[in-house]
Amino acid sequence: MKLAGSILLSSAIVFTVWGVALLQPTPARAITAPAPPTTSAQSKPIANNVAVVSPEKTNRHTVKQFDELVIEGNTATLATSQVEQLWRELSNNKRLNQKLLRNPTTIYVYYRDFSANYDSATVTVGYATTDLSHTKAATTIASAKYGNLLKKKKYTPSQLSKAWQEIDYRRNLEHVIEIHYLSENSEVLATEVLVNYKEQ
Amino acid sequence: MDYLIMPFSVDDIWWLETFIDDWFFVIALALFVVELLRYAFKKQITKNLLGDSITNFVTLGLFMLLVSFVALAYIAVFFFVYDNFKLVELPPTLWTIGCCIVLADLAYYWEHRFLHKNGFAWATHTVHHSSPHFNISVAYRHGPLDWLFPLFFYLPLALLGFHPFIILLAEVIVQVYQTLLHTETVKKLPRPIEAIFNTPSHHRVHHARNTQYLDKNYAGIFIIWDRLFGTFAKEEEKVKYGVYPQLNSVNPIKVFFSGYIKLAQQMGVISKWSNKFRLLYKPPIWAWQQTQRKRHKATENTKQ
Repeated sequence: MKLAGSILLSSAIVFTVWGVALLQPTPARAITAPAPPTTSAQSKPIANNVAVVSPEKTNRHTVKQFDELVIEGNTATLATSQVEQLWRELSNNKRLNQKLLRNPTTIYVYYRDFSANYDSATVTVGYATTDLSHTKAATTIASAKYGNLLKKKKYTPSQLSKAWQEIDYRRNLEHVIEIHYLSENSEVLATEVLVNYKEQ
Repeated sequence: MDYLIMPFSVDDIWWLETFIDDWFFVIALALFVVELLRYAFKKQITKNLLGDSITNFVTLGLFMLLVSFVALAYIAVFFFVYDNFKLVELPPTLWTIGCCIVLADLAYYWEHRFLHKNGFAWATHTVHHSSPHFNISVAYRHGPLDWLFPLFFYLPLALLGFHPFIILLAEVIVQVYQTLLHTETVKKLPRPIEAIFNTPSHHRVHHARNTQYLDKNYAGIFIIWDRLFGTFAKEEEKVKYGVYPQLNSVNPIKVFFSGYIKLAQQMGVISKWSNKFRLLYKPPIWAWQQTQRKRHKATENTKQ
């Protein structure tokens, strides 16, 4: 084969193999993990900023009973603006992902132990242990009544971000749970955000 | 199939790359000892063979010294292209690594073909071919710019979205596979393997100076590239190793710089600047043809 023909054939091979690489069924728990919610500290009012949300507004959230759930994933105490980092760690958590029995249908993001100005929290991004073959170092989300900050629906990142502004920061925020519902192909079908406050 | 799409962390990939790189050298040394024992058993050990083998490892040391100066820059270029110009981002899975190895092997084929067809590149690669012997130690016989040329051929992979560490891993796997081919101990492997993969037999042909074997079998892992692109030759006639003219030296410094010293000498002899420049990009055979033509002319003049 002449040089030009060889180069042409090589280009065809490159595009074919590249196509095969692109067509791989992307794992839910890996690179295409749903885009992390844009919970930037800037978008959230701080504790003293009482003017943002009125009590009436908060009260309109329907209350939902959340049954105890055990999840396992990546946990860290960090600025809520850096939760993306935990998503990446979950994607790269080979040990955990190998324990998955099936493609997960839900990914939970569990926020607790908020700092005084709500800038940081202890956050776990992970799967329900029912999706895993066995568990170790699991995190329990206690059964409680939660306000439904966002109903189960598909939202844009900015809508998710706005939801955090709906939180009544005058009350003692205790937990926030984001539930991301995934399709077979690991795309986010819907998201639900639940919030509960410490009763005083 | 799940294991194919299970993601690795890039740290895992880097660890695997360095693990293979380091430990394979130990394995290669062990294999070399086995080869030496075989030569001893066949009473084929000579002073020249031992000297040549030591020289090979000294050139490796010199090469590594140079690499230590440029390694960070080399990796940085990959990251720069990947971070700024990648078309997509491929997940770090076995599937991706497999595809990357195939493409890296194709890139290796073209790089290798280029090394044989470009005067400046041949000046570094000729060092690897200059040994009159063929054993594992020859795989480590390097020239001073052996690190430079792979960059241009593997860099497009970063553009296609392969993580730089995956590219480096694929590069190492191709190199490690190549290393194993430098042996006379293995004759021919079963036909299906000889048909698809590069084997010691195919690579002996590549190191030959027999006319019918010149510029053949450039492959890294898959010999199918040579079969597809018409550069394949089967090992039939007994192989004579080395280059024309033979280097006849076991001085590691002389061996290491032999290609560029010869290139500089050739450039010095040629008077026309355009021809000096041609020496840098024309195939090495062009320089030889020029010398032959000159000799022929001189003979003609003497006759007259």
